[in-house]
Amino acid sequence: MHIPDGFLSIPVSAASAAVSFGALALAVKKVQKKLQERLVPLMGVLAAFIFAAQMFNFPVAGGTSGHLLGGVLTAVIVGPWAAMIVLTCVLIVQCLLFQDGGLLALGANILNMAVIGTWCGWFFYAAVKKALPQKIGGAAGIFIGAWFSVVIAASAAALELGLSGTAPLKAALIAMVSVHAVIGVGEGIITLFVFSFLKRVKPELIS
Amino acid sequence: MSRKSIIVSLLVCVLVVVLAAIFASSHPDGLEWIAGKMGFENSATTTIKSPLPDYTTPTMGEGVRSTAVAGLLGVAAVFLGTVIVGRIFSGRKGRGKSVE
Repeated sequence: MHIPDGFLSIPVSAASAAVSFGALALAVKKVQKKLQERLVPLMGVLAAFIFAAQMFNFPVAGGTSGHLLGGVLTAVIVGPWAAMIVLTCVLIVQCLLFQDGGLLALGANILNMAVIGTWCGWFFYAAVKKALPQKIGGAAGIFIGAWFSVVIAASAAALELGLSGTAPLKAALIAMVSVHAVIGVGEGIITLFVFSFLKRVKPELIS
Repeated sequence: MSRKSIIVSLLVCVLVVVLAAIFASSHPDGLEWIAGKMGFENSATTTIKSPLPDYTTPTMGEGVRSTAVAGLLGVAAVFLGTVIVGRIFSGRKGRGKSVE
């Protein structure tokens, strides 16, 4: 759901960029406090993996495709603050090198996927994990958190499109949420799969 | 992270890129599909010219190899970029800093 240039109005782009910038400044401060230089190579590897995985579009119903966002996957490994930075690095490279997501829309894409997606996903992950018995809580939390991260990021994108006057808000919201409700299932499955794999081969990575 | 596990992890990324170049769906993604359906896809513009537009290597045309090469460059750029950003923000001084 990388928004290209031309879809968002200048005020919406500017406001999103400002919020993203503030959120990232806070993330840098939070991460710095407990960083942990050992976290840096892991963040680099995770960013490289999220980038690679995002290239892998999987088909979803009705002639569309989706790909992993990776916010929750990254957050369960390095925490949501560092995850914001990891996803932002991926988005910047995608924008500059691959024309995937517009330059003027970069702030909005960071806001939707790196900030809102990661944090909302993390919130649902943590809530579900806490509410359910320990045995299934972690896995259920990861799946549900991953699903919400995609659907809420898509809602934020729809809101920005609506506020920009590019599409009628309500119609854009319904369309984005219904398509991404399906894509979110893919996000949940991939996140759970990669997490379980890592837990088996590299349990020390997952605290 | 040990040097060995970094290398192994990056090899996994390379594998994912190659598999993606071969198998990834070329259907429009959710947003593109909606833009087409709601009729605003043509308002998309490009502000900057990217060196590897749409995950292709311009000198190699389109296809699996072109996308795989673009993706490998992307993996390298993302890894190095994130490590550099991480180092800067973790407060570590640059290695190349000259001694006065």
